[in-house]
Amino acid sequence: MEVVRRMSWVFLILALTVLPAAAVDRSKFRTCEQGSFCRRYKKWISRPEREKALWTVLPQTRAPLPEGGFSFQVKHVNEETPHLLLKLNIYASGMVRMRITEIKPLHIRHEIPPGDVVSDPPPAAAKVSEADESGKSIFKFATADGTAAEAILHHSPLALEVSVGGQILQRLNARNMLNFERYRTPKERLPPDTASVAAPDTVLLDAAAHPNGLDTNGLWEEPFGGHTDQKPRGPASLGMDVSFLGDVPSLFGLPEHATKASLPFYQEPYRFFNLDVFEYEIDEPMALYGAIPIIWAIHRLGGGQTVSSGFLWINPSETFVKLERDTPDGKGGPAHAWWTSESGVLDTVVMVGPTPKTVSAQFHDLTGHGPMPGLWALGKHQCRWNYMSEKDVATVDSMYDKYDIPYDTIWLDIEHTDGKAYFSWNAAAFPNPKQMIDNISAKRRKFVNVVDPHIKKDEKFHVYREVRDKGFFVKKVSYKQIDDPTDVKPADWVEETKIPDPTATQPPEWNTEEDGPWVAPQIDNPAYKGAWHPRKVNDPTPDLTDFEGWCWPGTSLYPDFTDPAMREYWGSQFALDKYTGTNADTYIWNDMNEPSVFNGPEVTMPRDAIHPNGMVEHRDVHNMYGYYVHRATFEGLQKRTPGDRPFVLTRSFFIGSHKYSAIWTGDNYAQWSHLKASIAMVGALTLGGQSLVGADVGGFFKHPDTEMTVRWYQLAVLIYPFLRNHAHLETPRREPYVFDEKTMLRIKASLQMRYKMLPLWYTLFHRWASAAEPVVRPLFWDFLDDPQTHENEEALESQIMLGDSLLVHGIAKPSSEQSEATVYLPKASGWYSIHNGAFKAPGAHVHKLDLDSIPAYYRAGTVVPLKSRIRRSSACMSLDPFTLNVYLNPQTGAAKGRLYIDDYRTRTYQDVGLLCARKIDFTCSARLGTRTHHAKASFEETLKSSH
Amino acid sequence: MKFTLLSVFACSPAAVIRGVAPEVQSKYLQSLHCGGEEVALSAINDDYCDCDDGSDEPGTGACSGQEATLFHCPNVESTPQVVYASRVGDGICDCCDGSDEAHLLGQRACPNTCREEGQRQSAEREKKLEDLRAGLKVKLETISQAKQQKQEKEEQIQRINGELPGLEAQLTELLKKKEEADAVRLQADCKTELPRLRQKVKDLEEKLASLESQLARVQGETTSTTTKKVVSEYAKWMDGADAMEDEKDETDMEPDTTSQDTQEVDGGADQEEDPLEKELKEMEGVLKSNKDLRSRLTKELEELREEHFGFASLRDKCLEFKSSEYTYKLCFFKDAKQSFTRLGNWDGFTSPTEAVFKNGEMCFGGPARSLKVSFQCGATEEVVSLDEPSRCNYAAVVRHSGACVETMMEELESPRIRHPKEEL
Repeated sequence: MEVVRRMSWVFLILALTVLPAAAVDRSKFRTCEQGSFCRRYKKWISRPEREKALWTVLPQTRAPLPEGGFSFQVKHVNEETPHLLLKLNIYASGMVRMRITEIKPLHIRHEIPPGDVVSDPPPAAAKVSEADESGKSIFKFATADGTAAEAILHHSPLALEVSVGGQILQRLNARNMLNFERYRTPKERLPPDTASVAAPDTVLLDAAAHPNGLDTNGLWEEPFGGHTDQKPRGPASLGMDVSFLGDVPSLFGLPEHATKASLPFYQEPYRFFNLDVFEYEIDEPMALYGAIPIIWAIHRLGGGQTVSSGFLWINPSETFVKLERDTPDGKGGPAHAWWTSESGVLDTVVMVGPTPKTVSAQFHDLTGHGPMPGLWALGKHQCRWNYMSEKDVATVDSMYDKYDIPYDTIWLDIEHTDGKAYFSWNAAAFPNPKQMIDNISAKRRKFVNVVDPHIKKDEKFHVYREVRDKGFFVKKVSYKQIDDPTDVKPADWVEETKIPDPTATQPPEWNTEEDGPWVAPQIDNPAYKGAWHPRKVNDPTPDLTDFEGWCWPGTSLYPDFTDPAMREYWGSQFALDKYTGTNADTYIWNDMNEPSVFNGPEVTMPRDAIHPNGMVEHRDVHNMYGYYVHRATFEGLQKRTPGDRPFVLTRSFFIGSHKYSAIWTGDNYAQWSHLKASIAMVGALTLGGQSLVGADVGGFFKHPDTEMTVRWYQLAVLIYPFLRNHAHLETPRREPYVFDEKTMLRIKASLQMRYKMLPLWYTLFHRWASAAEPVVRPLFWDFLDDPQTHENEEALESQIMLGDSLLVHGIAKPSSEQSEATVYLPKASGWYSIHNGAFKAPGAHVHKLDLDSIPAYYRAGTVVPLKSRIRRSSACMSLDPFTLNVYLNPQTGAAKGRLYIDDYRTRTYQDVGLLCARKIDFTCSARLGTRTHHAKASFEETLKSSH
Repeated sequence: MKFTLLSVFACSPAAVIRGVAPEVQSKYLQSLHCGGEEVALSAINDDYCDCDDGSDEPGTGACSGQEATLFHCPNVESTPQVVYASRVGDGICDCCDGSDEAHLLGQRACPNTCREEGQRQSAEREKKLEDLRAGLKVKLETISQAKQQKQEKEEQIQRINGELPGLEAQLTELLKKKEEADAVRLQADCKTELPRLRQKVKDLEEKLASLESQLARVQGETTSTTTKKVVSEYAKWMDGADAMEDEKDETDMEPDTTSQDTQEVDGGADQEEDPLEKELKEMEGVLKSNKDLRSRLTKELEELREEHFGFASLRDKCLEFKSSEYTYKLCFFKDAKQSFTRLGNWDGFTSPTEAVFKNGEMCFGGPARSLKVSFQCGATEEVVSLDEPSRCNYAAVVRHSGACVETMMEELESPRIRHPKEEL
């Protein structure tokens, strides 16, 4: 309650004093210029004579790697010995991976454990034929579909070219922006073994050591927002550029940003640093909750050929990426990106395509395939901060039934807990939670409870005690400054303050016998260097105490989820005998897992916090913290109910999160701009491998009016794979039945349409899980040869495809401002309105709008699997017959489709192949004309086990 | 003809159209049309939806998603009900006779629980009936009292209306007398006293004018303080408190003007109280309290209209409700509080059984608090529940005899078919 009040204050102050509308507090979050390594990098890449070779690949050092691929040593021009190691892997599906790390670093450079992001074992290696030419090593291979491809490693300066069918698509380090800051001893300007130590100030080495206006601020400690980041390990950032060649009309990807589908070339780099951003804004490169640093490029090559490729930057520390063009108007020609990360190793993967389908397949070959979600996860989720009691939950459930509105899952947010100690219940409001959830189960529905990763500091809370006693909490370092033991007083150090005056001579009148021996008068010693003190350094063995931050419960601690043992412990907490009040239909929502630390720098954990697992600094793993949280939860649920498909929703995520979790786009706003942006945000996430995604329908903050609510539902049911209605504590209720009857009926109709289309959704998820096809995707994915899908504003930003069959155009303005929409229907054999079956030829169409629907079209030539019986939950519909809608290709009279069926909830589809995946071919001998025909048919299909 | 056929139904249940109430069965004997086309009899309940309104599938789930055709569960030994087609064959037992899930076999089949349900329902109904009867009795009494009170109030207003001209005349008379007396005294010491007395007369006139305008304001005003005052003084009036006390209260309420007046008047007649002056003051007081009373009574009559007389017993009453955190106090026709936080002022009835308190204390960054009260029939007065469904929007359920209606009796005595929208 206290915290809620504080949050309200923040909002209130902003609203009253800074901006007319509530807005994100920019002062809280760093820009590239405000972070030392990004600022350094910008200076580095603007150095004079940047094209001059610094790092050179030594071809003679080539050696095979145990995991496949080759390694090369890399030498800096100003160093005598090679200090970097380049690893090159070429994977059979059509990927070229280049990694660069330090050969003998002073501290371990953090590498993501195998299996966490890149599958373990890694993807199958391609058959490669190698040839060395002067200045380059050439590796020839073929992509999965047999296209000839090449990876050419240029030796000096180090660069990597990847070409397909003889056309270069990407060139890494094309603009020689490589930077690699090796670890160095405290306060040293240069890392060990640098050649020209004689004149350290003039050595051109890396972004942290060069003579061109080096900015040394923030190398060893860095203040921001009242916090000081201690960096006892010093600078360790790295960076590189990549060029996308050919005529590149658009770049896509880089989730998660609240930006456009066709990525704008902002002045400010896109930032990846997972954060709890309060009231984020649209059209911004600012960091959000999750990070999948992937770029998709469209290359228009000569001869009308258009191909697609992908580039992945695998680094969990803070990362910036800047998109650039050669031309000032920012259109056409090649596109460039530079990347820089705070620490770790350089790990990049080029997905050579050449089609969007193969890029997706390559991404999932690298990171693993997503699991089939339970069918219910694709139904309607009803959430709110907060349903306040068991009675409240029962009422919402029965009100849905009262109006025969389908929904599958009801959710509880943080207020259900006993003082925000997760895994507990507020006994006054939820005295019999098990009964409450059992009642939901009895309706064949599911239940989701929030469990956040911050742990309330409370001796009475068993999770707190146990994690503390196991030593699993992330630590805070109490750095003490001590005398540097390696710093010894130089032999020539003069410490005498006074010396006898050397110019003085014994006066002639001096009588030694009477006056005693003559002593020269003392004067100030001109050679005096001051009192010598050893250099101060951070105590290398500082005190480690559990890091305490502030979150919903008040003082909270943060488990080290990077530790498999901690994840194991966490997972075990979901066992039904441990997590009292839950049943096997209970699933979990992990919120605040960036992690959110209300009083931390940028509302997150200090980068200098220490993860006891390997004594890794938080900065090294920050963007993966949320991933490890939801993964631990997923694995726990897997153990809790063996054979069941777990469901976890996460706010924070990283590359690979798709194997475990659904994602939503966080705390959005009840504004038309957020409704529209969700199209691009969902599309970017699906291109990043995350197909089970969605935005809060209606917006989290503030209250949508009835029209916005209706429009949001109409869009969401067709394009949000994860369909959840959620709202802030301070907003009025917005369950479908609370609106006026007309609005309620429109929402109900939308939800009925969703449930009708569940077989299509489910079949598409099978395509995702088995063939890596994004369930929802930007138009270019299916229509790469139609240039309008690369450049038409409406086609890019208002439209998106559900599978290969349904095109949806979102309406993001009130009818008072927009009475018609221009829909672009890509080149195909035609399109049929989903609402009235009207046929439309490809091209731009003006669509008159009414409030009952938004434009949506089935592609001609598709068979769409549906269910016509709309019941109260997806489970209730599982045994109902299918309806196949056939949308004929008017030229051929044929249509194709797919239908996938399994038991909708267990892993038998995976474990014993209990599934039915059918291709449907429909051909029609006679022309049917334009009438809609209904035909009754039946076909029986038995789920067959492959065993 | 019809009669004969019905008896055929009775003898051969096989001919009964599944999911159709007995009284509607005949509809399915004639030809069925939907969407402008005739539906073959063989298409009825063939588990394939031909009609958008579901009329061809009254007994299956084939036309799920519409609410024009509902499935009828006979629920013998309990109450018959209709359920949405979506409930038929969805694996959930909705009807106590299990007829909605007739296809489920063996252990999964829905057991027939109608006897238990029927017994439970009839016991509940019995209890409710008892409560309803008691409630209706209380309500009748309340209404008759309210009517009597209404009459009394109207009489009071009439009385005041009748007396006011007389009182005003007396005041004028007094003023005149005073003027004359003053004139006599003035003659004695004309030169010194005249200006002072003139001033006095002027003051008195002004005071009268200001009193008049105050009266007008009080009558017109509906602010919380006035409402509060009106209720409490009305209570005193009901208890037979005298006008003096009223005036004392008035003094509390408007200390400025009254104390000023008193000072002035006292200052003027410090040594020897002029009996005429005293009389004048008293007369003014009487006039004012009568007018106040009249406006309060008028307001009370407007506040509780005839259709809500059943709730008259809530006047001047506060009901309490204790949650784990707060004590709520609902004072009807006045205000509602959550411990020390005002949730709203009485804003009147919004429907026959709903009322609202509005414009409570502002929430942090949110709306002003408000409380919606839903009355539920019951012989006793109590707050059954009090929740905050949305932040700062409170909702209370209050048992009160005012919500009891005669027609409930009929429903409880011979329960109608339950409809899904009445499930709550």
